[in-house]
Amino acid sequence: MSQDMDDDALMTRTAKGEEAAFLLLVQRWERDVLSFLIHMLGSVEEAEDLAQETFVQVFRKATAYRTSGKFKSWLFRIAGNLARSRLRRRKILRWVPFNPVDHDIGSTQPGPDADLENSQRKDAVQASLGRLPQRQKEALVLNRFQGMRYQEVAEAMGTTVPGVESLIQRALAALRADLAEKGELL
Amino acid sequence: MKHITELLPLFVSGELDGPQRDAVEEHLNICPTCRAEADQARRLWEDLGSVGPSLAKESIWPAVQARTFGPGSREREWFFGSGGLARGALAATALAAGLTLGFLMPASENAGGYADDQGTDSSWLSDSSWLSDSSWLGGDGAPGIDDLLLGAELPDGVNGS
Repeated sequence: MSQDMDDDALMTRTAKGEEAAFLLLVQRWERDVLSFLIHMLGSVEEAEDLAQETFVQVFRKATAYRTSGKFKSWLFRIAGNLARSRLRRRKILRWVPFNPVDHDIGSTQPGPDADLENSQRKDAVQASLGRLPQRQKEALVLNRFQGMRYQEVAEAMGTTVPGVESLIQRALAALRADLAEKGELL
Repeated sequence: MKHITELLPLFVSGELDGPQRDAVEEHLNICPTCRAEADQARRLWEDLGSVGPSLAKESIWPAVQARTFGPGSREREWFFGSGGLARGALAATALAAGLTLGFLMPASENAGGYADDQGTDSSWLSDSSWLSDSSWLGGDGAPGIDDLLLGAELPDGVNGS
């Protein structure tokens, strides 16, 4: 099976039970989904658990998927729904602050003195990101880390493009304010 | 001069298309306030890009495969998948109905068994004495599994002959 086959074609084949097509989809998207879920949940273990569940849901819903070139939005909608459900179960109403010490962030590697300031700043940015309200963070993560355009983010979150604009604008303003308050001047 | 700070998130995230982007850049060239804001926004955007988690190299595929294409996954999917609960409820109802009918029906005319429409004698169904009578197995009455599966004769009536 060709690696170049687009997501919709792979989904059509997955719906017919073709394991090779589904394998290609998983390989193509697992890192993005996992990264997104780690940002959302602040836990690698839970993120891995939900990444698996996301793809199991993709498989189960494959026959209901309508090919329209919007697989990525559809995929992240499933992942986002699962993450929100998990957060509700935890009875936590905000994103869990991401602890770089616990979660193997590359930026925490001690380096030369010249890198120390950058490393601390990245940690501060990460912590501020973790303190954002849930929807602001979801919109920002999908846009910044998954490279999704506002239209795609809107589809994944079930909102409008102006809604996404507003969420991202407020998220960036909150990050700047939070970093300024922590002494990480921009 | 009117400032364009509300457009800066769109600008730094690459959301603006050609003409809009050109217009913002033009404004930044002549407005020091917005230029300073844009520099801060760019730096924050770059910082955000550097805080992604390091991901494990192991794929989640083996776990996903086990739940989708692995042994038993089809049966689990039938029960737990989309519509599975409804199917499960239907199966449970059918089973309960079957059991109920099974208990009610033999109580009539043929006490000890009942004849079906073809007149076949099925009285052995209610006669369990052959279960404790091992003489039909031959030998010491303790057959191996091969005896049971391959060669043992059943008592009269049991094999339907």
